[in-house]
Amino acid sequence: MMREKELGYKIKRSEMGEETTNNINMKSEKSGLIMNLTTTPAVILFEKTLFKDMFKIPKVLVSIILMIFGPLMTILAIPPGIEFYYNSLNDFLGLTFSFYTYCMMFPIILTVVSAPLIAEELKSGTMLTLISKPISRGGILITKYLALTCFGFLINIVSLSLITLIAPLKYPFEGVADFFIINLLFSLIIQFFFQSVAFSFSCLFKKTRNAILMPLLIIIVTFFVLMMFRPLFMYMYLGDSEVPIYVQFQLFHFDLGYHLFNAYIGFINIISGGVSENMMYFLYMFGLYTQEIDFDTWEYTFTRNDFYSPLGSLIFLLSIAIGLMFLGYFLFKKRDISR
Amino acid sequence: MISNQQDNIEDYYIWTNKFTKVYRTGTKKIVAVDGIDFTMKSGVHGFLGPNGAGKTSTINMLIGAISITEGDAFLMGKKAGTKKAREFIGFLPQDPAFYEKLSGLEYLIFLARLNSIPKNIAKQKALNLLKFFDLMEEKDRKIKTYSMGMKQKIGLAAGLIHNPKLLILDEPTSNLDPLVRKKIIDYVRKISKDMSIFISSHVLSEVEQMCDRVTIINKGKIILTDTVQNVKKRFSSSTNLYVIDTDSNETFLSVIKGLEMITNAWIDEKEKKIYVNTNDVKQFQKEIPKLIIEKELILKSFYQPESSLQDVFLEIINNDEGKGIGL
Repeated sequence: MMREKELGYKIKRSEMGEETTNNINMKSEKSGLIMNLTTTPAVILFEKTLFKDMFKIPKVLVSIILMIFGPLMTILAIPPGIEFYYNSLNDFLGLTFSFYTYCMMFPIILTVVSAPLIAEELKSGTMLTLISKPISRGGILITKYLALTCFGFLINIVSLSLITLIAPLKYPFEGVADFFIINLLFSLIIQFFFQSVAFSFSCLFKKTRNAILMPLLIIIVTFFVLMMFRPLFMYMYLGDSEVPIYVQFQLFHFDLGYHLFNAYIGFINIISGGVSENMMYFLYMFGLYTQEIDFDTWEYTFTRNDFYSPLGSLIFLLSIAIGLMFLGYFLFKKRDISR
Repeated sequence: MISNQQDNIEDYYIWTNKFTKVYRTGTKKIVAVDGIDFTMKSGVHGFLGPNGAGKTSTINMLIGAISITEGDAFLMGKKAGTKKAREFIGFLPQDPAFYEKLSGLEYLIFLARLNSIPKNIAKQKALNLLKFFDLMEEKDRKIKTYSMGMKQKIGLAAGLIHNPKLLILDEPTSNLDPLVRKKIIDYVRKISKDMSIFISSHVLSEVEQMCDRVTIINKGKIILTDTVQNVKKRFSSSTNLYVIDTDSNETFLSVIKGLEMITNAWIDEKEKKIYVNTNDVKQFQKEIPKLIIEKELILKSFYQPESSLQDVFLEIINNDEGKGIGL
């Protein structure tokens, strides 16, 4: 007690944690790679973003329910004792899963989850505290992007696995593994593309609402508006033109739906060896096939529109996603951050 | 300012050279910080200026939140805004924002770990600080339920969690009620024994209580940097104001009012003492005791009052602007 009285001010130092600072140094000397990793600011931010901000049970549950709702209803609607002409799971469920889950729900979930990651911190002012810590702006972006990737991958893999497990219980489908792999590969493209778009917009805007709006607009135009207008553009000819508007003005270059499902065809070709006629009915809506009808026999024939190779479309999509990410990174790095 | 800049730059907690910030909005240019040069050594350094003087812009450039348009700044020899410089600083922004869904304890642990402090030690340090700031009872409550005062305390604790060498506080008492203000000032004074602190403020009475040195900024330019005592001395000696207290101040006021060397004299309503301005200090100091004896009065006190930093600040800013300002 006497010593404490003599050293009144030093006791205050220890109250504020000076003694523990010495312990840090001692522990750091003892530590190895794992200790370094667990004390790296980027890892700490990753942990906080993933487990405190994203992995909330209601958020994960709602996301998974939204992802599987459409396909699950389709499976449950199979009447007992029915026999399909096509027994392949991808032929039966590919349309619902790739369109409902991966073109609508998954991008919307990724947009809603990723938009606040940077924008919300900028708006609330917590970004100012964050950047006053010894972590680079690039580190903040990469960390949050990785956390988003983990979240997206988890809800995707759980949803896909659930559907892959439940579907054969209702009907003895074939090609279950093919369905899983094709859709997993497709989902990775969807995830990378949309989370990069949404994340880069999150870096550009200070309001979460604005960061959500742009990616949402892309989703609506690509998967709702163009679904109505694309067939028109593919069957309408201007003047004496021998090719439809879609080809004449080379609209396919800017058609995100075309590129995404062109890549999807690439995965089907690699995994299943070719696209079934059943899938062609669906894929022609994305400009990948031209449909011709013989009105005498009422037979449909599909001609593949190979404006781009699947690999070309894949590179095109990756380039846009990477380009947007660099733009977001560059603007965030240059951005003035204040309250 | 620094004779041998490159050799001594590490001795300074803050060193700036032609530090400039220009905001561009369309074709408009707003010069928030206009090529300022100032240094800070150890101790508590106040950064004074009216609203819009460029205090927050300067601080935000120092921590790397906003880009530097021109010039450089170094914090303990490390370039301002770099990761290395940020390792040594603690920062409390004006109107700090928090991760409101975290509890006070979780928030402090998170920030400690962002400074590479292992989890168990971070927890111990966080608990020590919560105890120091009297927040132990609220440690598990979410920050969104905290009062403004509690938030300011947790903000201060967050700035201290990694034992920084330099603590930067941007208007730490703004938006707080007088009681909490006093508490925060007390905490800052306690902390100042352990580390150097750079405080921006426009509340002069508080700066006077906390700081050893001050830098006054107005319209983006530094007006002066000196110790608080020197600044006050420099200005009080130039005002030639004296205070006299006798057993009958009314009588003595009527006696001195007619004198040639007196330019102005009045009785202060609060203190009930005579305040006198003179144009001849030597003559004034000689004559006053004589007059007291002559009129058979009792002299209780006769002194030159020390100006408060507030008076000095107002005078400096008024001189700088050439007109009065409303603070």
